[in-house]
Amino acid sequence: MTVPTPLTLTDDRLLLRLPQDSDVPEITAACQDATLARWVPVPVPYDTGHGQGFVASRAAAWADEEHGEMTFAVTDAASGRLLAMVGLKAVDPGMREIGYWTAPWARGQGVMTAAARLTCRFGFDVLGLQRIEWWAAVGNDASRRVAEKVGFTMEGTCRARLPHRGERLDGWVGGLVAGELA
Amino acid sequence: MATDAAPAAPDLRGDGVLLTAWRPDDLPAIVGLADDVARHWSRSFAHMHTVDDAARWLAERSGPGRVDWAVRDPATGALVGRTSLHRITTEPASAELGYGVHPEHRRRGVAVAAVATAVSYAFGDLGLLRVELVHDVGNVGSCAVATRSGFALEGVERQALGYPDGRVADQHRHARLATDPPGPVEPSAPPPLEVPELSGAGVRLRAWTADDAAAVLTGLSDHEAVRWSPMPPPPDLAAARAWIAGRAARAASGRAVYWAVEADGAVVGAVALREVNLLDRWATASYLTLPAARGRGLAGRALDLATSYAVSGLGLHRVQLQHAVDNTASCRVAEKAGFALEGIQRGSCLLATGYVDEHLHARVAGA
Repeated sequence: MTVPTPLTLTDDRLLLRLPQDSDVPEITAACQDATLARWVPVPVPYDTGHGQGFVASRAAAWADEEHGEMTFAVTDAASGRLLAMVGLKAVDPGMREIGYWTAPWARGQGVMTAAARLTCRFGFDVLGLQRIEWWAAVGNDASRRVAEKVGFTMEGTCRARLPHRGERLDGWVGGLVAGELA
Repeated sequence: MATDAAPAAPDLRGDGVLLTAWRPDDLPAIVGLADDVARHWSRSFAHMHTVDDAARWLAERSGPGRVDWAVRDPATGALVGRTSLHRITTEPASAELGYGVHPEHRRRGVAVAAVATAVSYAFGDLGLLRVELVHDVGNVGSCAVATRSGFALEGVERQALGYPDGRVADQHRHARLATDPPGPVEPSAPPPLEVPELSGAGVRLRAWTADDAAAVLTGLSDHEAVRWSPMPPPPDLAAARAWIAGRAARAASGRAVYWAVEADGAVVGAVALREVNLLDRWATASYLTLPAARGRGLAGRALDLATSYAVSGLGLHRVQLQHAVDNTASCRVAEKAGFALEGIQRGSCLLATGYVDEHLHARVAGA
């Protein structure tokens, strides 16, 4: 599948685009947050080098249709400020897994729900996906609220499924099938 | 997730099975594992027809992150199935399990024995903590193997399984942890049953629709039907429509499959598989012919179609039926469809006239 790059997704408030070098300070700042690190497998401690490595790896990850990930930096369309990160990871043909985090300064404003909607719309309409999957550690209620608002159906709880900082956590799995996007 | 280089498949002895590494001279036998059932449910077997296909398949079975075994009869060495641990990862320490059984060796516990042997290796030798088994929700035989093998059902993932021919299906995700107690898990709610269209020998079986209410009312209100049925007939069309809705609900809840029987484009009767038990692999059949269509052998042909589907489609081992001893017409239908008379159940049916004895007939797969 040929997907136009660079690619942007927008609504009246947000602009989603490929992560770029100028995002590194804000990515690094966001990843200092303990709540984020509790649920998202980012390096701890997180330094500028991690942020640079992440941004530098996105183009190759985008192009790898079998194991890669299409990552969007979620920014405020007016100010350009980085608010969140969202990605679609390749799982199987026709199927990708959504993953996201929201910067501490952007929480509680519906940013991720709107960004996840734009991303899933892109997945179905542009990539032609049949299913988008969502996995989160049991107890990650903030992530689950976003998924449910976007229209994901909670499909199961898998024991000792998710590796996380030396532990194996129980995982929630949810699914969004083409046509269900809320 | 880190992928571990897996060791070559070691010989493992299980309960009535021997697991060995694949050998180059297995290729013709690998083709023999493939029938329409295997090609339908297994993505890797979808195009398995020739020795060349088998060679390609076997070439894909090597590489990191997987161990593949031939499952053999320990006495003869004959190939009876296949099993594998694939997507073996260290973080988390888990793998996915796959299997298939030779068409002539199904329903004999080969899959459960092979799964138990591979799982024991996964937890013991590989030190894994979690083994997953995913299957098409419609593959009820696989669900029974998972349940018997102690794999808890953890999720129903919608439209998560894509086949090479473009079909997309919901899948069950089962898993067994190293710390789980031995033995089977409690069966989960049975999966919904389809009501497939079946044709043969001049009859066509299909799902009931609301348009059939008049035929249902006629069929169930007929004197012969009322005489031999423990249930009172529906009083009117609305009740007949409710009866039809109830049949669909029983399929949806995995309990029964009810078909309308057509001949020459008209409804001539009913046939059903009730009390479907996918774990113990049996069901109870029943049938009825509308008054105007009797004496043509239609019920026997419909029953034969339904029973063949029970064996090949649902993987059942035994289908039984009962009828009042004095209902000689029903007895003839049973005999014609290959249901051997096994005995008399005393006072097992309450009719309007009181408790009556019933004949017990059954057809057993492969017998």
